[in-house]
Amino acid sequence: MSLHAFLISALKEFFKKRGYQLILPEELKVPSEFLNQIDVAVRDANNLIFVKVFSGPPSRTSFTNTAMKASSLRAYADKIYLAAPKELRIMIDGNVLLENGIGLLLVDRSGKVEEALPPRPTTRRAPIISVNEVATRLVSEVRDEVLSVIDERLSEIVRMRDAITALQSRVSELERRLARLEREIERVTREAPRLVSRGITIEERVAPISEEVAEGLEELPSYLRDNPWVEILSRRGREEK
Amino acid sequence: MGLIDAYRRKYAFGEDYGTSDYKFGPITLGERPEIIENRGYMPDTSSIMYRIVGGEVKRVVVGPEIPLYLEAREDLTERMIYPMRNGVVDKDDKKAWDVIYEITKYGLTRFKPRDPNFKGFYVTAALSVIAPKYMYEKIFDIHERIDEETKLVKAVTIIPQPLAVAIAHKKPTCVVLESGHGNTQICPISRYPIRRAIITLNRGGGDANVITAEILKDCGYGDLVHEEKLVRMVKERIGLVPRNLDEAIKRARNEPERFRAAFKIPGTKIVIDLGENSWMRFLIGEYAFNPSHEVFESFFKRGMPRPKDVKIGDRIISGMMDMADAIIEAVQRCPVELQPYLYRDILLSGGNFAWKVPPGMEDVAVNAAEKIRLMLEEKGIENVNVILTKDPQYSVWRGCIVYSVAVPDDYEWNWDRMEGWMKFR
Repeated sequence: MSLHAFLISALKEFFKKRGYQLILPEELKVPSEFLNQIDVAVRDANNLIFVKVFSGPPSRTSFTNTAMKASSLRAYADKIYLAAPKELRIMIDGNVLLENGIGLLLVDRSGKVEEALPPRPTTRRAPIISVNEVATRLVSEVRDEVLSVIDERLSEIVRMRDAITALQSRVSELERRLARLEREIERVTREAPRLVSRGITIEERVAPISEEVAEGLEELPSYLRDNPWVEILSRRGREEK
Repeated sequence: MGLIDAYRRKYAFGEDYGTSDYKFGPITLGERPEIIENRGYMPDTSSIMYRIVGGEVKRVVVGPEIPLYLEAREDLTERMIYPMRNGVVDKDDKKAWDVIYEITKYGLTRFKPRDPNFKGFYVTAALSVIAPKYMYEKIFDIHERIDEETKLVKAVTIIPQPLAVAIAHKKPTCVVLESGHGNTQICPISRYPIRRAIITLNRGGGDANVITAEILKDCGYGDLVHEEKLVRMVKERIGLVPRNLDEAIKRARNEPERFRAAFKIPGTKIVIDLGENSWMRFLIGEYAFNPSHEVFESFFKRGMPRPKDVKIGDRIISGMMDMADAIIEAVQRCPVELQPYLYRDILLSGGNFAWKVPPGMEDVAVNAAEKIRLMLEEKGIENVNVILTKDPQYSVWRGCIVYSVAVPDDYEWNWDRMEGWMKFR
């Protein structure tokens, strides 16, 4: 089964489980040139929902083009979704979807569908307004308002989370510096009394190190072989004592 | 002690924080480190998609994954961070330090061994010689944080890049010129870097790109100069270092066909041909070594920026100083007895010294080492041995590896001497 067919099958299953009614393309009153833009069409009460599947080359430009094409269906549906494989989520430009009111459905490899971004209802068709439609519209408006409040609160939480992370990292940094200072004080305190008596043992310690470094030189990279710095550096911290 | 040395032969680790690239890896890589660009991309965390996929998207992306996260082109300047473009990072530049943390962590975790006896790497990091003390503190902080998270750092130390070059080339007494994209560090070394003698010129490969762009404009290719990569390619393909600039210009004007600078940009239909202005190809190389030649005045008058001066402590080093003068000034700040030994070995390292001499032009064009030798000779300094380092890109990393292997494990970090091992556990 191709990726495209797999995605469509998963989407149909998803909508069926939610009690939506699947509509065949020939039942739609949509100009023929737009029909190939609709991969799945469903009805939820009076709402007509179109889904366009993105399975093209995995690039940001290609995704944006698909989103713009899907956007042209807004005059014929109440809601538009774009569906894509979940692994492509990092290249999806959320702002394009948000600005055009297009929802996003992500389909994972097991066929599980997740509504990552709800669509914004379109303003198409306003001819006969029944009580049901008024109620539906009110529900929709209230939902939009609730969503907008949630969106604001979410932004606030993200800002607070960033601030907390910055504070945590600052506190950790200060803790580390304090620990380092304590270690430094401890070292200086420890070494102070020993400084006067150290001279005698220095030569005894230096010789074995250079010998050890000379062992197995053939295994070392060219810049380590016969490098006078090896001996110079191996005496660091000892020559002045 | 023997065990520790055997351990470090496996787990010595080098980190070279270059202005353009980050070179890193353990001793087991052999002669060449792994390289990624020293940059990080910060995705737009306020976008709806970031919130949808939340924790799965990284806040800072580094290494080969960057292209997968790139958003709109106009965002690139703001969101793509090159933390070490000039060798120094501001203390409070949080974004830059976040990128350095991610790059460092990327490098260390990439080589995480499975050996149950592994207790962490002995890491030697190399910074620009002008890096202030707070940068050392920050680099230590970053390694400590990474060690807390991963247990990958047994000990860490930091050395200046020119010292690493001298170590890699087995020269305990020498002058190192390290010239990258943003600057040129001139550092006399006698077992230690002689810090009071260090000179930094605020001039590097980027400045040679600037004059290349000006020449392209003068020759009618002004529409191409906005692409830095292309300008750099032109510089590398047609730029020549003259043995003597006045003589080279004269010869090139008399024999225009012999010195003609023309080449086709690979993968395009664009052909760049300097035609009768081909003599200008010598200006590109000369500018890197001596921007104070009078021929460059006309470019400055027309608005080309002069290389900026740099302040080190209370000293100001002119960006226009020619390289020979800079070497002489650095050496003269060292004890007189030492000076002849320093001139004996002058090491040139870094991409800004990678100038080629096309076959048949040896009488007019020279490589960087010969140019420095000639410039010093003109100023009365003779018997110098100028060495163009082999594999200049890898020298600093190799020096770091030697340092990691050789410095005694029990030599603790000393802030007065700026050497030794910093340990966190």
